[in-house]
Amino acid sequence: MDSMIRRLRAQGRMVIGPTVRDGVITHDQIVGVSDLPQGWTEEQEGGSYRLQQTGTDELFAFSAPSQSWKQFVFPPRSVIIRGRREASGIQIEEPPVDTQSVAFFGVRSCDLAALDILDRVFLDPEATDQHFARRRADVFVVAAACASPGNTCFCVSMDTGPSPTSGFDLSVSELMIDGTCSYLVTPGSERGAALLELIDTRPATDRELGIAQAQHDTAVDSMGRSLDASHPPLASLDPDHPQWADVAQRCLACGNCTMVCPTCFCSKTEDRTSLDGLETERSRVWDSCFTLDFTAMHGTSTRTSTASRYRQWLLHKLVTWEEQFGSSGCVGCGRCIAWCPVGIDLTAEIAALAQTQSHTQTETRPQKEQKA
Amino acid sequence: MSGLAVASERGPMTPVMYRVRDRFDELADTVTFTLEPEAEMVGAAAPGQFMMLWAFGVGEVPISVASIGGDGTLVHTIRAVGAVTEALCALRPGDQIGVRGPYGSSWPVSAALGENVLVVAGGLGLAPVFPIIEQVLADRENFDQCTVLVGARNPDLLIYRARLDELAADNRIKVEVIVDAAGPSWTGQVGLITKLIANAQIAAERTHAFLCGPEPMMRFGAMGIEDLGVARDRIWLSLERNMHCAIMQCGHCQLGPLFICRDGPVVCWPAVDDLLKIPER
Amino acid sequence: MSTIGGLLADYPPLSELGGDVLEAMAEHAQLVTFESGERVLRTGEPADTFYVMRHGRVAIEVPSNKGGSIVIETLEPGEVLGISWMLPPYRVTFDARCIDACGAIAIDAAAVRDACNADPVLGYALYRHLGGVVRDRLQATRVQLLDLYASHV
Repeated sequence: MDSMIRRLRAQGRMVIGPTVRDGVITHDQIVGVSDLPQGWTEEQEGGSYRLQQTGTDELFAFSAPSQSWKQFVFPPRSVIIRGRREASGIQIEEPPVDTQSVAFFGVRSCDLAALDILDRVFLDPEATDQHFARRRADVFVVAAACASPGNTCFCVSMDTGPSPTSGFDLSVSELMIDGTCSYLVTPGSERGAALLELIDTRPATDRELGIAQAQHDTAVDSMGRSLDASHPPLASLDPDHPQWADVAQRCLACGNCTMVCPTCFCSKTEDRTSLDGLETERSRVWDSCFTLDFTAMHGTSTRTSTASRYRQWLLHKLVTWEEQFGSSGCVGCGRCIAWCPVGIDLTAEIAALAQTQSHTQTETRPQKEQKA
Repeated sequence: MSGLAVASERGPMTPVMYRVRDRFDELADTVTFTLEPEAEMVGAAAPGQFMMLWAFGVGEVPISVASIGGDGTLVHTIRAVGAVTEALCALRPGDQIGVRGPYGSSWPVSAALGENVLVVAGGLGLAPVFPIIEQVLADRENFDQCTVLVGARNPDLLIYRARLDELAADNRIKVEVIVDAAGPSWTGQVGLITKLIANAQIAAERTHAFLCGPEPMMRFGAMGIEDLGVARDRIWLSLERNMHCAIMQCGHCQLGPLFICRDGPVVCWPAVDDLLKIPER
Repeated sequence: MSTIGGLLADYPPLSELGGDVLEAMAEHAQLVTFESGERVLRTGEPADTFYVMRHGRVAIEVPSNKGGSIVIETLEPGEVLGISWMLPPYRVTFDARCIDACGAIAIDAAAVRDACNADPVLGYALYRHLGGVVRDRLQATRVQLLDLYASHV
């Protein structure tokens, strides 16, 4: 693993990978294996994230780190244009595209699916985000199969994991065999295969392949949560369903979920000027549909209640996204559950919406029949 | 002007600079601007489409194209309701303004060829539908009846008065204006625009309807037009939502599954009827 | 059908009432004309006549605290002017003034009320129809109350 990282850096790539910082596993620049969260795992639950030690040498014993890879392809703040008032008129310039070459090291299958989902938003041929396009074309992706899914994981329900199947240059499975870690690496592209040539490897044995498969199967069976794929029930489209009022009482509309979600892409524009008004900068900044201003028009907002905003987020993520982009917006990483300060669990919300609907139907029908 | 190239080779969020050629103060807070391109121009707009107009240092807003000139000039009618529109409404001839576009779906006017056109406009909604009237007049013999119904709060708040007077005198189209309330000097009709719809003498089965105005007005208007017997899929509305990008990447303009910047602003009535009924408090 | 009955039948909304009802109304009707600016109805007076407009436009108005009046609705040919006659206390609620020179069919409200009391079938048909007129105006008024143009386009 260390030589892989060093090879990538030797290619001029900044390698970004999981690392322990501030009591969480996050994604940051790494220079070698020593930066990886060796011996660490995560205990995640609704509204809770704790690091725990495994007592082993495993590098990838965690599941979904606090950050996704979103910020490296879609920065929280980026300049769109700069403008200057000159004698001849207003001059506009676009900021140069960042040419720093990058590698993502240790991308989970759910996060890979998320990158593919973001591609559909930002690589739209009618309006391609050039910075996003350049970064995505350049990035060398080393994926990592997930062997220890967490309590909040449900990638199996969303058909996005636990093992990467495409969208990577190399995919790594960490195998614990007889107390030692070895790494099964699969190339997913030509440049992935080329890098593999430069590293010390040997062909995998059948036993090792079997262990990798067994790890995958165990992971599939250890998902902490599940989401009924036949969602949404019709009731979830009913704005008066009591579940909306119920979740609205708990939801703080803080937007944490939208920030940690690997697919949330909403943004706003901000204009700033110099004090003399001669120079300006337009930036794109992350935004959240949970803010009151999100739907502001003519001085008022369309979605003023928390209930309507939660409903917008949930239905967009799981329902209307499909109509818009051809896939679900959710990859089952569970970050929104762990990072919600009050532990709202969208899998539980969907289950509640489904259950109450069938309940209501049974109640109303007999009454009508009696009257007839 | 005709020698100008359509702007290319620029990011999707980068505006093209235009200059204000003239401004006309329709109302105390509403201005109609004629903009002309300088070095480059944006692509030609179809009726119903909008541009993102940028006020240097303040921000952008989506504004429908109110008139489509052949020489690349753009006409936009803007009401000052916030920081950006106030900044835009303060522009004088010679000032520069950023333009991005055209964006969005357009009014399906050619679907009405050989048949009747019914235009219903409330308040500032007269601006986005005006290109429909222009298109029909430019090709008059290929359309049957053309009826334009205009509503406003009171006579002092009507926009395009000179244009409306011209159209009223033009016997190629029927124009009716109604206001919610008026003083005795108004000799026109008073009441809700839905009243004009109910009294409209049109052959419903051959009519295509286009509405623009406050959302409740469009909803009641569409229902009234349905009651006349016009087919639902021939009724079109122009919707408005908060927009930051106009390219389906900021997420603000969503109405259910629709992005109003791409699937709108012109939408077919059956596609939004249920969505607009939800009181998103 | 009498001349006035025929005239009443000319207006699509009224024609649905059927010949008998229209004849009953026509029995107590006559043709009238008004000059431009002439007041047809005055607030507070007994509601003993209602009208079906034939030509010209009528303004329904309320006095304004800024002097003059505010026109709240105008009626077109074919529309019924006056609904206060239908129910007690039979008092006119708003002023009505002819904007143009107008022609109308004036109908004796008291006589029509008596005829409705004597013949419930006639009464039901007429009040049902006029109930629809009242409903439409109420709906329009409610939407008008939204002051749709205020903070929007």
